[in-house]
Amino acid sequence: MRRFYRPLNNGFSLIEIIFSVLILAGTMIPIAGMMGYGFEGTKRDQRQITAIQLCQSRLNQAMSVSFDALVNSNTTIASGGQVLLTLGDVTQGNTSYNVSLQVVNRPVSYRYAPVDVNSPGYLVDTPSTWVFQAPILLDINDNAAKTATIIVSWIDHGKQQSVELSTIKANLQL
Amino acid sequence: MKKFLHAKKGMALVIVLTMSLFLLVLAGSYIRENSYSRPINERHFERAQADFLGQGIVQLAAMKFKKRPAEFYYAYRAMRAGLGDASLRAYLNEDTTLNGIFSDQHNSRYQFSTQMQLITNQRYQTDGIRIIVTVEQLSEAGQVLLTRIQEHILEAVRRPL
Repeated sequence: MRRFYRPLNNGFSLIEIIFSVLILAGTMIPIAGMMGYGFEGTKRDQRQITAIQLCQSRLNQAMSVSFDALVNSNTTIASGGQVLLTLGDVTQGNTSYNVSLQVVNRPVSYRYAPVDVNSPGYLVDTPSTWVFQAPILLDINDNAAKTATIIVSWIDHGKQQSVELSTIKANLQL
Repeated sequence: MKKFLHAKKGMALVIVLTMSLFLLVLAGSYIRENSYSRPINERHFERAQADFLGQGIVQLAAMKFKKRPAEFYYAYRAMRAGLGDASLRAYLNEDTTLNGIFSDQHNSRYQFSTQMQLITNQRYQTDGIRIIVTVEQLSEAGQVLLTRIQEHILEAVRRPL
């Protein structure tokens, strides 16, 4: 008879259930918060990637614009009815980006060592007869090159974010 | 001993604590994965900036060749003839327009340098001027973090003097 006797203590008591639920809630609520934070971070990174890609594509367009047409602008640059560079507000997804172009004149200074073609014994096809002079600088301050910067800005949780990419455009018609 | 092994009081707490620990580990690994994406975005941006800078310096090098082609030919041919590379270094390496440092909006520094080579075709009286611009992104300590190379070939037709 004693063998079949089992104490009636199976199952969970109410106190155990209460404490279990409290511990689970204490764990799940912060985890849910962290998951939400992670999801928001993913969306923020996606907006930044979109801005970088937009910046890249606009700067590629800017490289193909002629030297004289490349000027500071917040609005689309067009010539002869043809759009050369799309600027201004662009909406992608649920975010509005503002694209602008900043252009700064860039003076250039080229260094080289000239050859004295009037030196005695100079022969155009014989390198050993060439006399190199001291290096000099060729300075071109105006209209030689421009630094073009595309700025893409957007609002992220009330804060302004921006991405800038720069390149150099030389006046090859000079 | 048998009674101890069959005891079930307090098992709920043990189960819940184990599950909570498992969930915390999952959440921690998810956050760590998420933290990798921001550095990847920065690398993407820096690579794009290095590429655009390289393209710009290629344009400046092309303009220099256009303004002073003879000096490049003299310097290059003197170097090939074994007369030293001082004039070629003056044309390329010591030119501060074609070699220098650029800083972007995040104050990341990019060091750029330019090389030019002459590819001659005697049969067709044409030359190819190969422009190679190397852009290296530097850390604050001066270590190279990223290297990008832009290359462009100009075609030049030789005319008899």
